[in-house]
Amino acid sequence: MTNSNETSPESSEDQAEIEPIETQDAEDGALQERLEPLIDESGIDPLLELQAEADKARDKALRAEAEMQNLRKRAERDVQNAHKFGVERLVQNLLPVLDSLEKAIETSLQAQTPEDDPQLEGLKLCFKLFTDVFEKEGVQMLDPLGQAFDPNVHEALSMIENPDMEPNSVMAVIQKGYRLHERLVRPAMVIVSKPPAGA
Amino acid sequence: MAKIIGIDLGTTNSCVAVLDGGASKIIENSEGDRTTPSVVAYTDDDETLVGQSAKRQAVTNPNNTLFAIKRLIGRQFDDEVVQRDIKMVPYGIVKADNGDAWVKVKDDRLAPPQVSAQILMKMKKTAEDFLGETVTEAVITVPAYFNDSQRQATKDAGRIAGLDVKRIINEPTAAALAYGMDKAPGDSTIAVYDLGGGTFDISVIEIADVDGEK
Repeated sequence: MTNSNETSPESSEDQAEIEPIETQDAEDGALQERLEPLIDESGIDPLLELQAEADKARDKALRAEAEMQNLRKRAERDVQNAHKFGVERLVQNLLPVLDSLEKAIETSLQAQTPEDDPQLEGLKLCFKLFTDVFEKEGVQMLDPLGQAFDPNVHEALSMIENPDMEPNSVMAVIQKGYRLHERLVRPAMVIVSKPPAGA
Repeated sequence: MAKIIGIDLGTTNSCVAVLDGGASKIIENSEGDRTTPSVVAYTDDDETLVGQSAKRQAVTNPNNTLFAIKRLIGRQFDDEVVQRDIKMVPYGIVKADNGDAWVKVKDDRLAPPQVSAQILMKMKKTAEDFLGETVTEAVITVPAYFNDSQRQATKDAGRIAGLDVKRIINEPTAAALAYGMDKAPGDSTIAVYDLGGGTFDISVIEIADVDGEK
């Protein structure tokens, strides 16, 4: 080891604020100090090995960072979805209640109950309260009577010949569909029109 | 860094998962479901529907709505399972030039791997939407009793879907691996009951602890 190496780290401290460029050499000098005995012992150039290790470590760090970013994005999206669709199961379980309410009103009307009958009025108000709450929470009702059949939101129960309708349109709605924001909670159960045989 | 996905290509439903930080995560599809029906429909408007939407219009399009294709994949037309299937399904099953069982769709004849590829494509897209990056590699599970031809046909389906199928592994083995991963060390014999949508299978598996690796 030469004297210059031994003294240069000290001198670098004095000069650190004045000559930053010199610090590099001083660091290399300190490094050289560490490596010299190693070079003597084996034929492998430890500098290259250390370089390779540093590269590997840097690569790992970059990957970890990218992975973290992805995870962060995904976590954000998961939280957003949890907020939006957290009530999905509740909505699904309440739909039969809503169906029954609707059926009760239908049956009353079919039985020719007078429109001002207090019970019928009560039912209708109840129904309106229910659907208002749903609407506020982003639940949409799908009543596709007369529309073109769309398997993305309707489920076909059967196909029946119907000369008065465009083929492949909804001729009857057995059960209404419901959508929570953009997600389909329940498809509308429908009967689809078929062109009459021989047409 | 590209992730490899695991796909359960089932007779009735399919499922896709990915290893996320050491734990496996089942991925929800665009409709918010963790499984996707293994149904493919070719509509009159030349649209190809896969999954729930295909299932919903089945009644309006019985001849071109294909399901349970897993019963045909890799099998010959004269196979008794295929012959039994012909009587059960509304779509046409035909004999290809090489004797394989193919399906008749509108005026075309399709090989089962082509149809299953549609399902795999949807699973691939589901994974890509979740991960936010392209997926090119996958592992697909098949029943333990699948023969070479059926395994190869499943691999072909993966290739058509744009996936490099790294491994085809047996369904009960996958279940056993998932179970054995966190269990006590040492050997064990387990019975795997697979009550699926199309079949009910039982397998007996031995997990051997070899030098700390199972």
